[in-house]
Amino acid sequence: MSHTAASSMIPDLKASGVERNRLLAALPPADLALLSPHLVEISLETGAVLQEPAQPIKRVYFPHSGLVSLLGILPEGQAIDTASIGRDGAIGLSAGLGAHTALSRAVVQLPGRAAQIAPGRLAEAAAHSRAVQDMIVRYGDVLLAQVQHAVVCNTVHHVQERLCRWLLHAHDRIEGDTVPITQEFLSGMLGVQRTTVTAICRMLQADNIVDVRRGRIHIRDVAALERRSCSCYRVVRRLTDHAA
Amino acid sequence: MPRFFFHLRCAHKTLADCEGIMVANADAAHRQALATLRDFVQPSTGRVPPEWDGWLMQIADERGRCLFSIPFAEAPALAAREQTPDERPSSRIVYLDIERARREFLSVENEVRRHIHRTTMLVDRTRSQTKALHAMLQAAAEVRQQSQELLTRSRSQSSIGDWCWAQAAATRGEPATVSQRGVI
Repeated sequence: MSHTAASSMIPDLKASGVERNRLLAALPPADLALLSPHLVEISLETGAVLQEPAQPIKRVYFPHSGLVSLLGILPEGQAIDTASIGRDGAIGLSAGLGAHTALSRAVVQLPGRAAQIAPGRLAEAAAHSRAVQDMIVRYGDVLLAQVQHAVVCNTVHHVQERLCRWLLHAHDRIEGDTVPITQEFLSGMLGVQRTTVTAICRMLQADNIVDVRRGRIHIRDVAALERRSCSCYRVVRRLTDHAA
Repeated sequence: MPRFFFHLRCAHKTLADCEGIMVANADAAHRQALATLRDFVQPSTGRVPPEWDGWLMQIADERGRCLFSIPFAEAPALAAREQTPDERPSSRIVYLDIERARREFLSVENEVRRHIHRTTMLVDRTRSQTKALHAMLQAAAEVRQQSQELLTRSRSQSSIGDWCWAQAAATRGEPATVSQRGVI
């Protein structure tokens, strides 16, 4: 299977600046109209915590751009990336069906914009719309599958493959080829030493795949990066494509 | 806190770490290196990916001195005897300190040896130069003596010459001049 053939199978997720959240975009106009009056446009700043485990869900977020990570928190305080949510998903969506408490920490990894709504308003819309209910249930399944896949990937695949995969997911969510991410942040995401990330990045740079600069990673060769990534990149992309 | 650099090296390439990280001391840098290598072991196979074969991680301090290096090939063995920093036997750290002290001592010893060697060479050179100077002085004295003798002889010869010229000129009826005789 050639790279180009594989690409054509998956719709282009690459951010273009005028994108809207795909869950909202997939709703029939009448159903979207139930939500629209209550949606507030906000910007997502890198590092912002959108929800904390065991805390009440205060807002539901539909990212239009950027990237939010759901983090599993270890007893030692270490947080490891379990799912990445872009404009193909939402954060705190289950609040629309009555969930009140967040189960994981959600942190903005790449800045962007989002529509936010109060959980009560979403629940109200869901009570009147089958399409909204479906969206919430379907996305819950997708998210579960994504997290399950991350668990398998973290236990089976090499840190180098996971790093490449993360860069590819991030690359899909940004305009251009420069991912504004520090190596320190990336090491936290992957649950490895910072020196591990810098070593791998240096190797990728020596092979002309990326260009590492302070606070950002410029991707020079997406196809080569995908060859270094585990197949999970394609699998997870298919999952998120099915979400909307 | 001091900064330590984690360079990557293989036979034909070096990927230098230009940023480094700050840790408490060389022991902490060593622990960091071990933890990094453990990260490189693939969980499912227990092996390091083949592209890292032949590579090693070299840890250097701020002065660019290499403190130690660990091959990536050793990572699986390191991961197998995984220990938390607290459980690590202290003998390991003592061993490292002795190693470092030995290296420092060796480098100082080498330095001293180099200085002694250089001083000996300088003394030898001074001696031979003194000897050469002495010989030159002697030669100069001899030359001076020879030239003095030559001068005396030429003076006595020139007075004879003057007399001869004068006689010759007188026979031809001309006045004798110095210019006609040329320079002796």
